[in-house]
Amino acid sequence: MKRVPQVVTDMLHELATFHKNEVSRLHNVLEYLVDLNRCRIGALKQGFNIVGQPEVLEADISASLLPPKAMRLDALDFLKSFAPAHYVPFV
Amino acid sequence: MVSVILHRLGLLAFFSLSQRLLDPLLYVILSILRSIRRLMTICQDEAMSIVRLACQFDGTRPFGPASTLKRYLSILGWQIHPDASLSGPEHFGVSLMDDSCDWICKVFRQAWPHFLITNLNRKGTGDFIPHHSLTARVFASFPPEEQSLLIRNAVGGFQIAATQKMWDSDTPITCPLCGLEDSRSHRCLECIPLAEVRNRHPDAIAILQSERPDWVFIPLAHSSPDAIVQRAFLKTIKFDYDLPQLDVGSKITLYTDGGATNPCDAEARLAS
Repeated sequence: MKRVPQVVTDMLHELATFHKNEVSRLHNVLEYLVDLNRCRIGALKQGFNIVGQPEVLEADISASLLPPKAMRLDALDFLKSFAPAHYVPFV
Repeated sequence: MVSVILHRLGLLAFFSLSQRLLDPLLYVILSILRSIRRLMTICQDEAMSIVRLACQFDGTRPFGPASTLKRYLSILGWQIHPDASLSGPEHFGVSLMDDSCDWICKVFRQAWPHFLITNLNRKGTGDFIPHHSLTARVFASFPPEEQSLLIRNAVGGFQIAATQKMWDSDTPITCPLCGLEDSRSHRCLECIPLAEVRNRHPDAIAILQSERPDWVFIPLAHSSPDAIVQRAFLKTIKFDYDLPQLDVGSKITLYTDGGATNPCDAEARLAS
């Protein structure tokens, strides 16, 4: 170990110190980001103090041809039997 | 061939946060290199013929395994030499003849961020090379629930309003909490309703404001600028000792005094 030049030993010590400091810095910032994102999600979920967001109106489905509750197989059955007005199937 | 895509910042973060996940391109390259290294042990002549073919190939359209390897390496900025050594950017280098498969993979994974950074043109990449294993080690120290929040933060899960507006023109570009213009730095450093969180983490705020402003966009550990010098120094060491020829079948016992400085840091470790 004594044969290693002092310059190299110093450089490796600096490298190790840099890595230790970088780990500490990154850990601090990641902890902050976790806290920040958690609080931000909480604030957005509360919703009462959200400013600048457009009001989303409930979609008007009265004019829809598909029954509003129809899902999966029910919707498929409806679509299979669906035909526009005055439609005459080709036989 | 695995096509080369313009890697995005989120992708870089994603692979930096995991010690196991690999970019598909890197995975393919490591598979080829491992195969050649194993072939080097079993049938050295065959392996060296592949290396020679790869060295001779200078086209852009690969037509076989050797030329494909050469093409991949040139995409990454690496060169293959007739003595089966590979040299890359930033003084990275391995030998397909002498180094183990594990070491070859380790060096390529370490050099990978350099390739990604040179293919990125995004905010937050900065003028530094990310330290892959350091980021992954810090990330792994967080519990799973917090890791999921950090992953979303790093890969674009919490989009700013300007990004959301690209998909939905009705979305305003203002912050939903305070009404000011929404941006990464606004969320991290300025948003008034989140001031209480900032007060709890004064050290982190100081780091983001002065030491690592690029972490506002993506928090990735930096590589030390000394790491390049260290690699350059290690390349100057020549192992030309007259080592005895050992019988592979016999048991070999090596003794060391175990002395080492910085034993927990692979890059700064110095063993006797």
